[in-house]
Amino acid sequence: MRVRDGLLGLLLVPLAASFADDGWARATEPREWKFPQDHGAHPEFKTEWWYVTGHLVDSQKRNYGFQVTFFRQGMRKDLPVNGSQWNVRDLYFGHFAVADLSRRKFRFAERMTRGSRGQAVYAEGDLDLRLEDWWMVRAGETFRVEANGEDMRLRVQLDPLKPIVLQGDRGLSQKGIAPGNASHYYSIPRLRVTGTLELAGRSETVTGEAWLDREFSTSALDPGIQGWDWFSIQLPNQQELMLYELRKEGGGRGAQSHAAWILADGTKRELASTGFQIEVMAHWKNAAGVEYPSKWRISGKDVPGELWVEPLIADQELRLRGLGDLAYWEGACRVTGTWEGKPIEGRAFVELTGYARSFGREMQGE
Amino acid sequence: MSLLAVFLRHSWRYHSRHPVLTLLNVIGIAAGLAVFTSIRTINSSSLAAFAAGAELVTGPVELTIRAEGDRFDESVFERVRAIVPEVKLSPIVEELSLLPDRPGDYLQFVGFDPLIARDAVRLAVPESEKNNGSGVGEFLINPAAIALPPRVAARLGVKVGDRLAVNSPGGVWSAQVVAIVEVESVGLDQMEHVAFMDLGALQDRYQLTGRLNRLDLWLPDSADRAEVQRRVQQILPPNLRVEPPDAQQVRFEKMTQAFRLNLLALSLISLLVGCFLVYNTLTAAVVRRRREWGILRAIGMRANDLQGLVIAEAVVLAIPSALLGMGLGLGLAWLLLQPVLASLTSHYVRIQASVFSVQLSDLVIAFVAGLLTVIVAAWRPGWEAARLSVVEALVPARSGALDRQSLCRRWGGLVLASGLLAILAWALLDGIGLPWLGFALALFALMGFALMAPLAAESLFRWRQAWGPKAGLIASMAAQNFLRGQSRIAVTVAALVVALAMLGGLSIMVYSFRMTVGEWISETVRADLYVAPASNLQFGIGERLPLEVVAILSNRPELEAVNVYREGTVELGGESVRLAATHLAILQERHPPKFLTPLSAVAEPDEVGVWVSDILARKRGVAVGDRIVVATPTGRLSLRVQAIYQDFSSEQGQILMDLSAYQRFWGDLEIHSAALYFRPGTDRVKFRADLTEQLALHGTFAVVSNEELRDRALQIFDQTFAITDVLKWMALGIAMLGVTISLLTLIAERTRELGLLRAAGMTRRQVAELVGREAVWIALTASVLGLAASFVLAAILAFVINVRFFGWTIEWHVPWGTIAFMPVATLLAATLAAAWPAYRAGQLSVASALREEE
Repeated sequence: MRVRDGLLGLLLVPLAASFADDGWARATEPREWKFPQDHGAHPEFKTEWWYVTGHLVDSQKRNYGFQVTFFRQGMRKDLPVNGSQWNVRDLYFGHFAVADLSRRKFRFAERMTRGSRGQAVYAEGDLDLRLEDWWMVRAGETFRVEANGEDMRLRVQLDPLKPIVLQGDRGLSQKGIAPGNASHYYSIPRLRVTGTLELAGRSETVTGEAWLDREFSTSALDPGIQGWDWFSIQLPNQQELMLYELRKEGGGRGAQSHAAWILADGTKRELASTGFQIEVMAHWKNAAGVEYPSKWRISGKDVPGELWVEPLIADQELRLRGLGDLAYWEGACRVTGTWEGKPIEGRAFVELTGYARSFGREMQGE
Repeated sequence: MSLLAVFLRHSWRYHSRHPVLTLLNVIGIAAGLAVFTSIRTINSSSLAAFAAGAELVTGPVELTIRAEGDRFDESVFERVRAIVPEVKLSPIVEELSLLPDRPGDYLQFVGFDPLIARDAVRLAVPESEKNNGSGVGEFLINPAAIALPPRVAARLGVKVGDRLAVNSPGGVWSAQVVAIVEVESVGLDQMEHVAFMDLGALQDRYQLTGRLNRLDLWLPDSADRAEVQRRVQQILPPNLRVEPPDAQQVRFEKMTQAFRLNLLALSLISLLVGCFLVYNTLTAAVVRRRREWGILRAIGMRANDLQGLVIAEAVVLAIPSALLGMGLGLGLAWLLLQPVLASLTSHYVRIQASVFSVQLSDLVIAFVAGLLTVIVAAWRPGWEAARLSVVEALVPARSGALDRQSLCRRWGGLVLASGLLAILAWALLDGIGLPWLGFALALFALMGFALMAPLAAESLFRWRQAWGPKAGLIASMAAQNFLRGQSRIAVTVAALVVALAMLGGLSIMVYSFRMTVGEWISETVRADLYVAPASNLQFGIGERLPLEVVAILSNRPELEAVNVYREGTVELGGESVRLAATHLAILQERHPPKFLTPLSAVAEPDEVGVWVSDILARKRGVAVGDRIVVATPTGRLSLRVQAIYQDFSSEQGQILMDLSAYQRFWGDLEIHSAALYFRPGTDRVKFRADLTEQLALHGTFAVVSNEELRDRALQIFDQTFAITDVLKWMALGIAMLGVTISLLTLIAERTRELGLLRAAGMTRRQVAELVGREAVWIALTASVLGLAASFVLAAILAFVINVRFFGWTIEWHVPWGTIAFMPVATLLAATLAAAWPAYRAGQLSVASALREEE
């Protein structure tokens, strides 16, 4: 049997921390953040992403979830001098998904290129990302994003409602035990979204709220980590919660699982790995029989309440071609429960990786 | 019992009693058809082979951008992307490279972007061959990574992880197989040499940074192809064309049309010879079975039905012949395909694939052609059978049913008709210029000669009687028999005449051509040494001479002069012509081409002066002083024709331009070969060995002397005509079969007569001699006519078909040796063909021969 070589799999599924000193910068200590410069690309690191997820509503009160992600994956640090413009230094790729919640339809699209001859340009020093016909730029305090797919297009403006949150220790987010197995990580946990969403030929004005995650690293995870479950939760009281849990191969929770509670004024409280737990309460199976968790209970001694997180529609799995086949689940969720002693309802986005490495292979037979 | 059943039984009995005759007949038709089938299959296969090479890795490509036969600057990528952002652009660069560890073998590298082409091309690694250095990631970043289609990997005996030594301008490198390519492309399965590299790696490795061979456009479903084509063409520099990928195929078909039609026409001659043969046998059969016809007529069969039955019988016999012929034809095609593909590569474009394409349509056409040939051949004998009166039919025949006078008159009319048609074809050819009318002219001329057989036989006979020595008894009888049997023998002679004309005509034409080309080569190839990438000599133009090699050559003190050549193609009036750039001043000083006009016409300041080949001048109606406009990457360029020179290197025609002008307007510095001129007193052998060693550090180069290059050029020439050789000998073989059949039927017809002769005291030897002498008469008559026809056919081939159809002007040279050999060979072959009939005649028992024929 032939197995497709999943290059993307290398990125989103555990990357062994066995890289030799190959010239890439490592996240070994907190960096001196400078904005807007740090919104731009950091090509000295191997892996980098700009992750926008959010919830939208149109004029007809129809609800949508959306995700636009720009990735960069360094392939080799140095290129031959005066060589071909087609030599690969980085792979640039993007994922775009829209969950049409009222029609219960999930669409996704992707871009992937080596960037040569203007196919992709990720600027350094400020936010200006061009990925074929997708882009993300900064204009003053505002971010603008456009992405499109076969029968969909999103063009929105993002205005931060909260300040930048540096995750982990001053933005150094330890993902593994070994020094350097960490990423530089910051979030803007709440941005106001306004813009247009075209779906199947219909254009709607949309508004809503989004979350921006920025991360760059060279080698983040320890060996033996199979994937992660990541949660971004927005509560109506202007508080947010970010949690992730690393899953070990063969079961169990990675020691570097982590959570942060962001208060209405933007201050952040770290939740220790032992201070919270995420219990899976239900599962969903895709057409190929791969099982994803599909309902969670979040609680723990550092958590001021109990939250239930549940997908707004079950199938929000991105089945991508990339270079090899890759699938992960990234979707809009509803949040219910109690918080600081009061009943509460909120929104979340959840990312589940490492469940279906070679999912696309089975799907090809369809 | 129905009439049909009666007929079939008779038919079966007749054929089963004459198995040798029937078998020869079957073989005769089969051989003619085999040649025809093989040529059709070869023609189809060559088109399929080209298509297979052209379709490679195209994926769902609806349009493709190319520079006419050349590479182009990749900056066009951004410009096209800006104008049609909805279209996916897949850049491709290609290069051919020798494998030093496997002499004669090479890889055709396709450099592509697997990210862009990922929907069409899959790089996979078999589970058992997975390792650290395999897979897509490795393919993208390892400059030594290559990926092979399963067929190529199997042919080379390599798997993922293995290494292959490969040539490049920078020397031999070790390519590492990192993946197996799965691609949905019709052609790929057929390709034995294709290998894939990352676009960037290939550009760097082969000094092609910034250059592309083509840019494929993958249109979304919603796009309007014509609209995209129009918009893209507008922004392209004039030397680039955006067109559907099959446009390339259409151009190839057009370019090679003459070549293919020529082969087909030659194969039709074999079919014609086969047709004569069938006619001959059937006529004989009709005569022999006249009693049978008489009985059938007597019991009520109508004349038309009888003719139908004769034809039907012929057709029934033709079916196994046709099947046999088609089978043989496929075998022959399989044997001849490689030389033909090699010829096409030498003369037109490199054909990368080897495809043996058996088209159902070709087989059907061959089958139908076989049956039609037989029906045409059977028509007349059937008619003869039908028009016999019952009484006439039932009376034992005197052999030679038709009298000589009417025979000569009737055939004379046909000769006249053929002549008139030939003149008409000639006039039309001149008037409306349809090149294929040249073939009609040749055919009618050939027919005319064939139809003169009875006339020639009679004249020869009279000449022999008037001027020859007194003939003995047997000789006289043989001569009389020969003349008397004209109704039968004339057709055999005609078949032999056609075959001999083809043999002689082609021999004269090819010889003339070869002499002319040989002279041209010895005038053209006059530098002391030539240097080119080795693959260019093996596979036609392909690789470039690295600039550092050019520099090495320029710095050698032993050389008085070095000239370099850059070869390419350029579009002129919608068709491609060869464009060669060189230092004209050095060329003119060292060994100018053979100018057919004085060097004149000064170029205006905004023009470039060029020399054009005679074939281009003739085909495009270009004269000295004319302006021609070609597309360059920097815009349209006006060329002033300063001279016309003789050239045999390109059927499309060639423009010769100064290298500096070329580099200025085309903006590339590629060089393909170099010509070296020694200083007096240089030790040639030592220099050559020395240079070869020095260049080996930079790749694999051929350093060849002028004699070697001349030999190589003539080899290519000979290879082109190898198939012609096969065809002419096949035709002669079929005709010889005809001689055997003819004599056998004559003997059968005259069994009674021969019996009488034996009874009257003639010995077996004398009977055999009688038959042998008749064969000599056939050979003599055919030789006389065949030789005359050879010259006429050769003249038509050389001065009409070659000029009108291919554009070549060749000088008349006669291979007197071959011509002298022809009648001798014919006599020998006819004697050989007569051996079996003569033996049979000698073996006849007097008693049974005298029994009345059935």
